[in-house]
Amino acid sequence: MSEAFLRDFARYCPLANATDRHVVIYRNGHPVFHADFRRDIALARQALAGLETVLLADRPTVALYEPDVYAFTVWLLAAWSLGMMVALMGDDLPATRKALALPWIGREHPANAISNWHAATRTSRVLRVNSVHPGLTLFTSGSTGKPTPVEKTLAQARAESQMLEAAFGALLTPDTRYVSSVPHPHMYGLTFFILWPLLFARPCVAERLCYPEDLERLPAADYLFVTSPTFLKHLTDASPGLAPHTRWRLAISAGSPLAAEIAASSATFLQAPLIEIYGSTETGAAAYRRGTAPWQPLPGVRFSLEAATSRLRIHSPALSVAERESGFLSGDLVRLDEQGGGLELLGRADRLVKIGEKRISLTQIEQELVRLPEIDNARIVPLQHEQEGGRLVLGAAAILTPVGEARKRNLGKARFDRFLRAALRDQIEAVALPRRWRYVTTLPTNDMGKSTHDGLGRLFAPALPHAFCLAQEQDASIGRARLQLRCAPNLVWFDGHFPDLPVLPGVVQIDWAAHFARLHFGLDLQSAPITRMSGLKFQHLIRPNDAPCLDLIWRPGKQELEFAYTLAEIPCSRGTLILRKV
Amino acid sequence: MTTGTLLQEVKAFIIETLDLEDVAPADIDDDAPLFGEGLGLDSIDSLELGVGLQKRYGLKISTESEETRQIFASARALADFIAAHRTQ
Repeated sequence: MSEAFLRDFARYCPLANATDRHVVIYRNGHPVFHADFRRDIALARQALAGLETVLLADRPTVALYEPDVYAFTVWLLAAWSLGMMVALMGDDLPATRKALALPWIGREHPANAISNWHAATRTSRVLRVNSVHPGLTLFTSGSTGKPTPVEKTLAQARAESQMLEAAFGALLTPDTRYVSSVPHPHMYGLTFFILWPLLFARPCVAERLCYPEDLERLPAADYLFVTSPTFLKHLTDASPGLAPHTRWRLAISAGSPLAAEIAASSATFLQAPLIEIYGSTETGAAAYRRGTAPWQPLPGVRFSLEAATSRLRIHSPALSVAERESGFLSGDLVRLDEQGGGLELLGRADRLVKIGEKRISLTQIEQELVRLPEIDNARIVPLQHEQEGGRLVLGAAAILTPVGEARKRNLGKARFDRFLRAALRDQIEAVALPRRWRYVTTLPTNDMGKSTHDGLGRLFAPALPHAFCLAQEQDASIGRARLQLRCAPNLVWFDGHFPDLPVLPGVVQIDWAAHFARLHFGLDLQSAPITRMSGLKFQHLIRPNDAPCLDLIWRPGKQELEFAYTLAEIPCSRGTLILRKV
Repeated sequence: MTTGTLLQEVKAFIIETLDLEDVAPADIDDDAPLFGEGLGLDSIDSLELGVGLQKRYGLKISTESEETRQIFASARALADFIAAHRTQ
């Protein structure tokens, strides 16, 4: 019977003694009791027993994606009780399913209708689980955009929950309900929102909080809030009313760094202690802090410093047996106090770049930027120049505050860019001052609040080719310039135009002609806009990586700009732009 | 060529050589320093401008000398230097 598994899984934990009337979860406001829970697990086991599983590293493995928290938990425990390893998936998009050749359970499975499970009878097959075997495969969402599998045993998952209970259990009551605003198939949500309450016999609320206003509709009870900086920021911005007779015993934030002001205002708003968690998918939760206090290791965790690189080594009961020996070398740069406890995070090791032989911390630049009254949030992206031997330059994607918006309106973008560079000059090496600036209303992030490298990189796709002026002559009546262009393959204009045959659009060629004429002849297109075009001809395609020549002839008397693009003397396009007479 | 048009050309040369984004010649003040304050160029830019001067105007400058600092003092100083020494 699956009770045997539950007992084994929950050994040393209160769940083992849970009564039939113990509430496991609240779905749509209604309690699901432990007896129902056990029955549903048994039914899910029945469905899984007939499944042809795939052996992955000698273990039968299934992929699980199920947005419903209750159904997710049932599937998870049922699969574990059959000795299966479960790969937790963040979505079940066709591409994801194709990439992972495993039997998928959850939403897509024919037996997913939970109402049917309730109607069916119990099974009675006994299956004990050896919790040393891998029980779980998680995929780190990572900042590189490439998912990497991380394996966990049930023993590790249990050790982590025990650490959390030891650290924070005293703040909670047996009836405290866990409610979450973060996705449950990731390490953070899974541990804090599903496994911890499950093992310590506290109920959770199945419905994920998506909007600050959802807080207004919670039934009267005591709550623990599993959340992220992104949600807390929205929460303090929106400041909804709190539902009557709800009491927040503890709020927990993880996923990305929490700004001190957001931490303070959220704690005040919820009238609850707000704990920030430091950890990773590989190590589980490792340290915690309240407000701006120094990071403290969770009970049982020990830190050491890899002297050569200043990287943090984590020793934790939640690591695998093999890793516990040496500890897990994290990618974070830290300072430790003498006792080896208090931890100061200095940024990611992989967020260090070298520019002109200088080591530059991208995290430090971001921190300096958000200190400015003009900047609300910012991400720094290293960008390699397209031209040969080009230097590494930094791009800044920033969300402006109202102060910043106003100043940008006054100065115009170019001067505002320089204003920000000047504001950073005392703190940041000149070579590390961001060169490319993008002002956005949101930073591209995944739902864990982490910026994605690909999403950020796309913001900086160049709109202009690299250009070099080969020759230029000017007298009062005529100006000529000959420019050598290089069309980088990641030019924004090649994107989707056309998917299978990227070509440079004609309208872009006209825009570039106007742009370079402005640069070389000082055309003022504000007061003398283009009114007409004549003799337009597009004869030969310009493709990614092409290096066309652009010839410009400017006749100020006639207000006419002639342009011609050629590729190794082959005419590509030509035409004349006629500006309004001033 | 008048000094005015050469000054315009020099500004375009700086923008293109350094691939400065969103900067138009009008944003570069004739007499403002190119490095540090003003345009805010850095030591790597100085090297790239040096290489660019050689390619475009056949001018050789030694790096990190007092003379170089004077040449790059402003767009106008650079234009004056080019006008006086250019070989192409």
